[in-house]
Amino acid sequence: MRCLSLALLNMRRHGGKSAFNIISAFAVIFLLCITIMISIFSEKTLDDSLNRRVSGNYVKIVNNYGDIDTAFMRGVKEVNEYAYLRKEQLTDFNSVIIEGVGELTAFADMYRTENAVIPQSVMLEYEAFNETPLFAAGRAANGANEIVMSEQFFISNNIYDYDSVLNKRVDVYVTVFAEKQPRVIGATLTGVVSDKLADVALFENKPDGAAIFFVNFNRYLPLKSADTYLFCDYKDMADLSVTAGERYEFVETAAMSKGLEKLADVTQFMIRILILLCLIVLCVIVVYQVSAVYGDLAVTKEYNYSLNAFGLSKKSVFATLFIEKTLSSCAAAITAFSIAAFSAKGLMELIGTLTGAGIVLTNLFPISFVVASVALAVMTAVNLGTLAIGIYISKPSNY
Amino acid sequence: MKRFALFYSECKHNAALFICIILVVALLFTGFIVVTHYSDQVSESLIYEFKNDKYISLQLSEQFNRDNIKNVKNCLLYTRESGLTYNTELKNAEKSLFVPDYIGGIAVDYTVTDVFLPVTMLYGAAVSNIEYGIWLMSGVSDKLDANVGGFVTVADIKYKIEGIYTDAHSAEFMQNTPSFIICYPNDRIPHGKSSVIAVRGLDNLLTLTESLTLIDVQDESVISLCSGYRVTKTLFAVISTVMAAAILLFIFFVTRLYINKRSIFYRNMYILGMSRYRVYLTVVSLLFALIAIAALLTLGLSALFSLLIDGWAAEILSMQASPVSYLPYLGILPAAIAAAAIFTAILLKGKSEENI
Repeated sequence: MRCLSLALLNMRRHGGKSAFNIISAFAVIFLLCITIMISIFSEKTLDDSLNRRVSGNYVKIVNNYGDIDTAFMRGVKEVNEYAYLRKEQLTDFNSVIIEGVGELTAFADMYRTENAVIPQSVMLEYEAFNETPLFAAGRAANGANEIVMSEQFFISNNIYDYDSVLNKRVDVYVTVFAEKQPRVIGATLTGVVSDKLADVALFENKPDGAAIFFVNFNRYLPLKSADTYLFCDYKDMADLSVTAGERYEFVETAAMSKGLEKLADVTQFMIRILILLCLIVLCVIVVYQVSAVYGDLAVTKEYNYSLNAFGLSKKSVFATLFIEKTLSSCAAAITAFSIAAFSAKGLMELIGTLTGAGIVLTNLFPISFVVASVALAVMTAVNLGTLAIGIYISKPSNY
Repeated sequence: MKRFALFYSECKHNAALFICIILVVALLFTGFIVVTHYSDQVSESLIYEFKNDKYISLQLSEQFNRDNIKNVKNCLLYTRESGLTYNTELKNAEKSLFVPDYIGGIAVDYTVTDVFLPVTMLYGAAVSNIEYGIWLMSGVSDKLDANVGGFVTVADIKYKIEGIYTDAHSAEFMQNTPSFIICYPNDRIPHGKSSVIAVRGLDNLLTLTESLTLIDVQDESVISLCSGYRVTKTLFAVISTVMAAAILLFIFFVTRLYINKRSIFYRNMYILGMSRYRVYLTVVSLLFALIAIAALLTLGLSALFSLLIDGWAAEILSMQASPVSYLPYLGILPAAIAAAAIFTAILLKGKSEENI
């Protein structure tokens, strides 16, 4: 307690000196915070460039007999984290019977997903590029016997009142190669998705005018040319391809960001440079703090000696100085953490606007807090070491 | 002589402090050099292939929004459409010629102001945005017996022949020499799947990709690369600025340390009878010596870091990074010394023998 009072008294007596120490420490911690936040921001921004049309980044398993193992899909760690679906192409030979409407021609790409759910990556990508809602009518399917169809199908069959077909039974007749009888997928129509869904990268290669159906994956239906798509981040594509390739013979990878290996490499290279820069700044913090503490010890050595002469033990002098330095470092770290978080947010927004990247890293406080805490820990360790060397190892006359 | 004695005494008593100051300044200098030197190489390696003044063409998607390029100059927008530029018939008064897809023509968007189609003209005017103008390949004009000033009908629209060009050379982005070029009036070109936009030069490409969105083009990698280029360039510029600010701040810190904490240094000079101006010069000389030693250390440190980074460049980017040229960085030294001199002048102002 006595040491704390003495430390506070010292700080008050030398207000200008303490303020300058805090400002200088703030500057180096701030530099570290900003450098690290910029590193993270740049990594995220470039990563986003690679994954913006994530539905176009996929590993495709080409399987002529449709016996893709769903247990494999759920079991493999890399796969499990991502959406997956199977694509089957329906042609003019296939038909759809809608209850109360009659038989219609089916020219569509049919995507089988688990419980007919539209993959999250597709929905996010749609929302990023379209202002109109994804569902023109109804809702997403959430059951095993539900189906979602795109507007294109109804427009091509001159049906414009979507409410009249919602919740009706739909039977999709699929003629499988070499089979005489068509197979039937029966489900309830729960929603009509916007025709603009075709803007999403995944559907870029669908035939002109083809509609899009989403039906339940679990209902096993062997079809010729049924391809299974496993979506993933650009950086995970190689690993996923290897994992799938170990089990299935025909595995292809495709990426919207094909040809962007350069960007991925440059990102990795840039991150290394920025990490190196952070280490340099950390070295600056260490050397700066050593010089600051050493300089203070040199200037106040007569005062410290007099404290010792008036009966204050070496330990107490050490504790007083350590508390004083730690309080300064804490004040600097807290200020640097909050100002860096605020200014970095503005900076990122500015860079996002200037570069057209449009990506803002919103939650900067935790990063800034962690970085400032690390800097504070380093400074405290340096304070401890420098003071210990200055007071205990050097001769008493030196402090 | 007095000054050398003072320097020597100062170095002897504050060796540790000197080493710390030199190390910090050298590290900050090194950081600045590393960032600025590699920022250009990193960002330019992204779009290296576009640096040459060649044409870059982007295949536009069906969702292409024309408004996105209305402010972009130096670009060429053209399309190939069945019934208009291929699978169509060219007619003049005497003859007609069916144009199959493999020798199809192109329809240039009339509203794009700068047309720079690099075809070699034989007769007539160079390709420009003349409404209802047509340019014919020499083989086509021979078969139609058509010449400059005559008229040709394409898809029921009459065009005036503005020029005849050779079929030997055409730009790479057009894939093959178009059999004819028409300037299609206003916005009547149906921008379908076969629309292409072409630009020449890096600056124009960057301007164009700022306007286009990912959904507008089929080859998104060019857009993403340009976006990556802008992001890396701006971020490195920000980091360089922050580093430069840190260097200035630290020089201020060192100057202040000398003026306020090591006041005994210049108090002794006053005692030794040195004038105010000489005291100022001596303090600045001391700072100059510190900064110069730090600069020498920077040479070694940056060479060390360059070795490391060059290794990464070879490993990750498979590129030979160019060695650091210290010539452009020579300016840092006088700038740092000038800053130290200014800070010293500011901090010494008002301080005299009486109030030290």
